[in-house]
Amino acid sequence: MIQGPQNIPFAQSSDSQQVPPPYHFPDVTVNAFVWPANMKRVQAYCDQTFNLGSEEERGFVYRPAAMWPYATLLFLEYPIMISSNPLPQHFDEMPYSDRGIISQTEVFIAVPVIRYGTDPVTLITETTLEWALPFIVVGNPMSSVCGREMLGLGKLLADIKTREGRFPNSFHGTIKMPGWRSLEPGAQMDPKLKFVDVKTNPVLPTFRSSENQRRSLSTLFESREASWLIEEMGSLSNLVDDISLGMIPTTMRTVGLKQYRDAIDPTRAIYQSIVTCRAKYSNINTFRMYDEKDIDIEFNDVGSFNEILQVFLEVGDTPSGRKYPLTPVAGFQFKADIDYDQMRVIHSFAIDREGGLPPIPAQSDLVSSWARPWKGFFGPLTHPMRNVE
Amino acid sequence: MTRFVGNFSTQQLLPPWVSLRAKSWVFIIKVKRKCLQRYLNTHFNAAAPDQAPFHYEALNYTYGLMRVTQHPDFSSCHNNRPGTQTLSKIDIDWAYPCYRWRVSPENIRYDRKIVWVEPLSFDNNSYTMFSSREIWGTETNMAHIEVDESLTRGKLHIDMAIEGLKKFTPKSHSHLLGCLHIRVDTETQSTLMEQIEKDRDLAAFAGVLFASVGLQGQSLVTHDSELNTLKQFRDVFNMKVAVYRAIVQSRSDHENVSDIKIYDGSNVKLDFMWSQTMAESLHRLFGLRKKHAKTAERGHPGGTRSIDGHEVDWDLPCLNKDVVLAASFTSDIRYDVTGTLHTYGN
Repeated sequence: MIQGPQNIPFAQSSDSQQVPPPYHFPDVTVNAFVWPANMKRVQAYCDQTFNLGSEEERGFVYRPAAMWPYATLLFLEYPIMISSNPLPQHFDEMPYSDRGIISQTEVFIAVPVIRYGTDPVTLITETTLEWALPFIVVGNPMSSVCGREMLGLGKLLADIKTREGRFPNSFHGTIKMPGWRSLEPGAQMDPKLKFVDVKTNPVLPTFRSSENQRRSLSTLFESREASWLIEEMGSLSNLVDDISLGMIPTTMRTVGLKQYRDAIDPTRAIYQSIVTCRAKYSNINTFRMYDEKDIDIEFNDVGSFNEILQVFLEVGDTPSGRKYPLTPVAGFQFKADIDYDQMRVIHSFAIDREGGLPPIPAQSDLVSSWARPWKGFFGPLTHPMRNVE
Repeated sequence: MTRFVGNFSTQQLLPPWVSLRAKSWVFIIKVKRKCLQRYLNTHFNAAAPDQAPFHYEALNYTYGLMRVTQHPDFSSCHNNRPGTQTLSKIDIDWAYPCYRWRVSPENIRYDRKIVWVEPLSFDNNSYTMFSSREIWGTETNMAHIEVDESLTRGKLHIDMAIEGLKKFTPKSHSHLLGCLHIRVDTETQSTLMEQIEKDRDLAAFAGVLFASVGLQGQSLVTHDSELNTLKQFRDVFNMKVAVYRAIVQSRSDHENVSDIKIYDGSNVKLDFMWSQTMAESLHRLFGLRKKHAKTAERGHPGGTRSIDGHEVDWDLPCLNKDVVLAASFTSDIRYDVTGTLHTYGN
């Protein structure tokens, strides 16, 4: 159980834009594009982001999920975002859930990773599948602040446009965000530098296909059995979380590194922890596939964008200054309700402090989601809301 | 040392920051002392759970500054590499000076010093917004800001809008709301002497203000430009608890100050737009009340206007706040973090 940091109260400002979790997002439109990821690069990302310090101290190690060696780019359009926390933050305050709703578009790249326990017991009880989000951008400033300061998701603010493409039922998505074309001192930031452009032809079946659709992965889903499987996955989504140990992506447990810089020495962290949250997809409907051969994805390998592209694309160590075209192996669209909850600090790293203050020791709460009820039955209750007590 | 893991999402502008040829407009506003003291009590004087060895007290001359600064060349000078991550931006903040006393373990106050606090801050560049929040601890909000000197000859026009809710109801939809509107008649200038002769408190405040700005030929060491911010981050599952809370000390030094112009407050019209998102801030920091909003005129004083091509909802009560004195100047500004005064939760 991770103990809270000495019950330090947060001074709530009247204009605070931080909306308390959990959240409910009904009727979200998702466009997803899948391509093979380089496992070495994903491992390097895991080592840099999660496998900090020694394995003995941490008690876990993150590795890429070998059974799903792909990266997924998701465009999510949220018509309604609601805080589903009915409690007020202060006794005389209106709960955030009653204040109103926001809309936004979000884009992220998800890479499945597996956290392995490092001894025979924890290898069974603490091994779990999670989704790392090395790139995540949103269109709403409140969402970016909440993601960064509470959930450990490095959400950047971007200008995201999603629309129907040239043809009916096609998709066109663009991200423009602040960036530098050159990393040389004095180069001015471009506040709307294009990061990625995605274009598709109409969803299948369509006659606007450039190649024989019989050679497409998507033809698999034209079969009655496969269509039934998709529908059943949607209707069974409340159960799959329990029976699949989190391996089916209708429930994504995201993992992120929540950390903050010291003001005087910004290379030093004053707080560093691994946070997981559950994104549960339910009521999945209108699942439709694109012909992957007619999906054009172009990332912009310039200046400050090169660093992130190195995680999931085969780009060089220095920006090429050119577009990087990508051919996905699958593309699909669906609608779903998404609940975002079960925020948990699973490991907080030890923090050395200055000024004669005692160091804050490392703490862990690594039991995987499927084993948590068993641990609760046989051991002390470790519900997240109790962690701070 | 716990090493911070740099990545794409934390490509922040690391301090110190340098802004070249920054154009500033400052508007001196008088507010009630309790508005100044309330923020100091909740953010600096409260036990959390331990008490910081400082006590913050509002000055007797109860003025603050609404500052609008246009930065055409703003960059990080970290590791003595000037011009790193250069960008342009506009920021707006509400800041005021206060006394900071040291407090002994026996609860005796000593060593009084004037420092500045910044309860309200807006920025139109997301990179500096994140850096301000996550490094300095300033609670900066993202805004759309327009400074227009060319709209009408002899008139400066400043508009600011934020994402927010007009009214709090379960069905309200967040959108871009007008927040602040300022108009200055820049053709009618005044002199500082004319203004401070009218108001002795203003003379004292002007003294503090000038002590915080380095005029040409003055040594930077003599400045009193210390800013204190409360840097805090929430816990992931308990919103009322912070995982880190500290008082951060920084300073901003203005150099090469030039082109100073003074305007009589009567030539300035400063209006806050009342929405439920802004209501509490306007009440707590400026003493504006809902009853003022009920009788106020609605809408943008110059008609409906968009900012950066984004449509802004200005159909909101427009609450005027008197400006005592305004000034504009151009300067080079250097922002430095100088220390962490107190870390809570020892």
